[in-house]
Amino acid sequence: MNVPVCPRLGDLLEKRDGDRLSLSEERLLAGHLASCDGCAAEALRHDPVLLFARDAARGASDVLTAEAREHFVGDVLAATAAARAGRRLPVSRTGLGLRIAASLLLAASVAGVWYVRGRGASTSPERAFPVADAAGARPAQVETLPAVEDVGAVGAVVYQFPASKPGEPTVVFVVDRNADI
Amino acid sequence: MAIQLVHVRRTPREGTTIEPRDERRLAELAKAGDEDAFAELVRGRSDSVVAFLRRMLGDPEDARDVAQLTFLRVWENLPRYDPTWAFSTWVFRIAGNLAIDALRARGTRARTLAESFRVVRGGLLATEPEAPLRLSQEEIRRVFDACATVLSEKQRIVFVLRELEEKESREVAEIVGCRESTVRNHLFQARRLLREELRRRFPEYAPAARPGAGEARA
Repeated sequence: MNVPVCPRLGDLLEKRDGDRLSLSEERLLAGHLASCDGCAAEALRHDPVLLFARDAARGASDVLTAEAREHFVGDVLAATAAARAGRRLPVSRTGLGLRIAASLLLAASVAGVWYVRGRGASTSPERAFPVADAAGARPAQVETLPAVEDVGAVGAVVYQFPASKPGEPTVVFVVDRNADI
Repeated sequence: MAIQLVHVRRTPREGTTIEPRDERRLAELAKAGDEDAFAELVRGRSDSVVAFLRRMLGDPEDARDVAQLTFLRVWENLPRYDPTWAFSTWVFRIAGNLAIDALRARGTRARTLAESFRVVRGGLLATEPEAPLRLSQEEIRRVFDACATVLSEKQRIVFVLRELEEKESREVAEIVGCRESTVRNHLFQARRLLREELRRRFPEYAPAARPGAGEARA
């Protein structure tokens, strides 16, 4: 039993309840509860949450071993070196211009496929192949126009091409406008 | 593009601690590009940051990963570091924000795991009044992680910093970015919720209290 602190336990716990402990009193209380089982049992009857504070005050196992610490520091320095190397990339790599160019390239590819697969067909928009029909029964007259669905919320556009003949696979492009290429 | 990796092997040290004034000086040197100074800062703060994140996140691996990310963010933001702030306060602020992000990303999964911990371990432990004093550190931490799921992110970070890391309310307010009165409010609420949760889920570790004991009388 630690004589100087034990008689003050009640007073210290009451001050703690009101968050009125000074820093030195806090450390005194935490250190004492970590070493005096009698006061710790009394303190836990007062407030069981002190179980966690008592554990923290005894937390020698929280200290990294010297080897683990050096490993940790090495990993952090490696990460900063990698980040520094990454910073040297041209700023335009993720620029708007490249995104627009990528979008144009994808649009041209889609148009090319559409032209090759659907030449000679009507271009009337109301005859577009509905996306929902892809999983269901296919109409007898095969449509060859792409159905375009703009999924605005996620910045993606879905282009779906119907099969030119029954039994042929359906082609679907999902274009992510935010994609970095 | 060649990525340059730095391999560091230094003399191991035990329990490195740096004085706040020296941390500011090292931060200034690191800001000017001194890698050794930055390494010294990381070495000096790694224990406390990993321990804090371990208490915030529960999982040691997650704590280590988020601690690494914390120091990476510190390095990235060194040019904006204001030396009128204590370096440790600034680091804990970054670590706290990242911990809150990680807790949010976990969401429901962590709560479900914590609930199952209670079910699996129910009835296996001693029920005598002295039982809490004989719990292993690992067990106490698991109990804390299970109970702390009832806390909001702000309540958890305030409780961990104030009660477990023993930081003053003023510093906690700076780290969390709120007033001291708000810190006190979060602390009282966190204690009350943890007390209730402990009594509800782990009554064998919550001895019967005298009426009014443990309640805030601010």
